[in-house]
Amino acid sequence: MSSRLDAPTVSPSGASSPRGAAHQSTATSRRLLPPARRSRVLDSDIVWAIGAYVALVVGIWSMHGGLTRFTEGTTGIATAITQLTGLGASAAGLVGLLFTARPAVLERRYGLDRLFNWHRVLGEAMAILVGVHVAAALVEWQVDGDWGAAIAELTGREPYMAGATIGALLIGVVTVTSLRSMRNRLSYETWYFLHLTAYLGFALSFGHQIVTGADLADDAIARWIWVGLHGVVAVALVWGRWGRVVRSVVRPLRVHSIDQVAPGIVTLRLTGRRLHSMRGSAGQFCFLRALTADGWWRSNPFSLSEAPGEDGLRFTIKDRGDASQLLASLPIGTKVAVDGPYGVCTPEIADGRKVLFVVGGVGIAPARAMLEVLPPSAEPVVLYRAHSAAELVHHDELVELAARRNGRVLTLVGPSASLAVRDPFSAHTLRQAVPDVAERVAVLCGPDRLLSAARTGLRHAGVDSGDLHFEHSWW
Amino acid sequence: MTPHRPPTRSRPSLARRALPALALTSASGFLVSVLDRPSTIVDAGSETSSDTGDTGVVSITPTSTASTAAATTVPTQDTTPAATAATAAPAATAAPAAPETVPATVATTVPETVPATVATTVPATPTCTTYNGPTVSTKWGPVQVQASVAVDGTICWSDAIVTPDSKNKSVQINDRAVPVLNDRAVAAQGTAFDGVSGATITANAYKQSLQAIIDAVVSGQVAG
Ligand SMILES: Cc1cc2nc3c(=O)[nH]c(=O)nc-3n(C[C@H](O)[C@H](O)[C@H](O)COP(=O)(O)OP(=O)(O)OC[C@H]3O[C@@H](n4cnc5c(N)ncnc54)[C@H](O)[C@@H]3O)c2cc1C
Ligand code: HEM
Repeated sequence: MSSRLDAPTVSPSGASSPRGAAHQSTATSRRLLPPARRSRVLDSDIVWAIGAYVALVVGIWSMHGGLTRFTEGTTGIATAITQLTGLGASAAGLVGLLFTARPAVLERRYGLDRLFNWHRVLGEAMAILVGVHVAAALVEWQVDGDWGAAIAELTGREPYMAGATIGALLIGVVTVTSLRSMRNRLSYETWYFLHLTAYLGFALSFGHQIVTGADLADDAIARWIWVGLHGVVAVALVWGRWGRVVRSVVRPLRVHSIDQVAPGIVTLRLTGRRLHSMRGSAGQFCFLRALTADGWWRSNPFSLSEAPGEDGLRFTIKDRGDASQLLASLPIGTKVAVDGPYGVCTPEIADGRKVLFVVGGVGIAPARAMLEVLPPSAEPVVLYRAHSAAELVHHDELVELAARRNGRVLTLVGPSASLAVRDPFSAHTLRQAVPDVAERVAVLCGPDRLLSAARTGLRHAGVDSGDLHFEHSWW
Repeated sequence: MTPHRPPTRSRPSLARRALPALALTSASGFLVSVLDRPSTIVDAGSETSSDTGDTGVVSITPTSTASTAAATTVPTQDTTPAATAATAAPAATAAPAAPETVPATVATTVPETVPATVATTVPATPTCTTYNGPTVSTKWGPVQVQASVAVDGTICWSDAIVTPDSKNKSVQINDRAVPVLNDRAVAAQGTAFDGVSGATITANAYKQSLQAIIDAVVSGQVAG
């Protein structure tokens, strides 16, 4: 049964509607958590910081004769390149590491997804720089074509060079396993544990930077700046990355209820005293870690499917694999460590304007949560794509919430081939279904294919790219 | 939707997921310990060139290569400070006798007394002219060789007049390496000699500078 995109589904709560939507908490009487803090960081601050950082690194390099070495023959050029790429790799890696520490000032403004994507860019840049660094060092150290001696020298005879060599190899492994084609072959956790060896790689290569590198070994000020930067990033990681894990485990929430809302889809409600000290907004997501024998070692992201309140956090979880299955079958009362919430796609983005949601499958979760707190001026329209009517979760809640805000829900159900419209996200179809689409702020959530189709269609339909909001896929 | 794992639904154990990472970590640890063998001769150089004043401390290091007599004196140095000077002195003199650190005496005399050494070390050619080679910059600093070369390219003597000195470690390494290089250059009558372990960069630059002198002399670019 597929309803046409251009025909609003005024759903009689019956046949197609999901069973057992237990928590009809659409009432406004709930005490919601205070909204997530805004960050006061400006784009211009970031530009300044980047400028200062680049100037610092290039300054350290050229102050120690980096530029003049270029006039000193092959060895001089190789030396200059070795030094600049070494400093650059370390500098890029440090900032990349800083992003995985999820600093709140940046996360609250740019979102975790973008931090992770920047991390990827810097990680890849670092790996390339390390490659050039090693190659240039070999050129610098070899004599009369005797590469063997240069390699022997660089892999162990000089102090700390064995560590540096293995560190570089580890960074290579971490980068290669992070390439999309490789990642798809590994389970998330296998990839993640391999990824953790990046810490080891970083630590192993630190010694040679300080002792062997001419820039840092000879200049006490440069050396302490460098050590200081590493210290800052280390503290940020201990506090921001692993401290968050510890804090979430020390003060867990507990499973209050689990309800099946569609085949293979459940809602999970967590409650606990910690909620009284938490902040969070609709549209955000949390990492969930079940504190059970087979769950404690992994955490997976799930969106809040209800505006977060002191009475609990609700998630809507689809069975995709081991972790989601485990979460869906936890006994009542099980402790669950909640890390977050994260994400900047919150109701504030509406900013008094009208809103359009384009969602696919279980991507409805954040849209459902945001609907709850949007003002009537938002007149929300929800385009809801699902493979079957049974997978239209929270349908009744959506219809009710939208109707109260002068909005509506349009569903698009069935395998792509059987749809009434060939391309449901073409600019033409979108304009027909939502005539004022170009005035709206668009929130997208769903599988990557849906995201890219909808993005293209919406842009062609006249939506400004600054008004398109979605979680970038980071894994 | 996208099947990404075979449908075998065995309980995913932490062990299975962590295994690749653990294997990688242990392999790394193993490789580092195998590879890491930084040259330990470094201290020997500083020892030969320093005075008795602080050799009491330094001379502990080269004992393994130097002589058994020195080795046996080490423990006593720790216990009685008064005995240090006494026992250190033999240790210091014993060290230069070690095969590795040949030129303690040669190195100091050769550059000063040019004609004398030419006569003694190079039997054939009487007319050597002294040239300064080009300054070669390295990671650690500039290296410049001064060599005395006969018209036919025979090297009478060779010495590094400029070596990196911005850092203690460079000074230490070069104090040891340069005399060895001087010696090897004369012995090899060219630049086809082994570098000094731990001082590869200086050795390379040394050879480059020296080779430039030889090339210039042999090709007749410089007047004798
Ligand atoms: C910001 C965000 C919000 C999400 N919100 C929801 C939601 O509200 N409801 C819902 O059902 N699902 C949501 N997901 C997807 C959910 O995280 C995955 O389905 C879940 O992690 C699958 O784990 P698994 O072990 O069950 O399956 P697997 O078989 O291990 O993986 C299934 C898929 O999930 C991806 N995945 C697995 N673990 C992670 C991880 N830690 N981080 C990122 N991707 C991972 C894998 O790449 C794979 O494509 C969200 C994902 C993100 C990134
Ligand atoms: C090249 C592509 C890379 C990609 C796509 C990538 C991706 C990621 C992602 C998604 C995370 C977050 C994991 C999580 O918290 O769930 C992460 C974390 C991390 N990455 Fe990378 N990364 C890359 C390269 C690198 C490199 C080169 C290094 C450093 C040598 C590195 C070091 C780290 C570290 C230390 C963490 C934190 C791990 C933790 O404690 O959770 N990454 N990376």
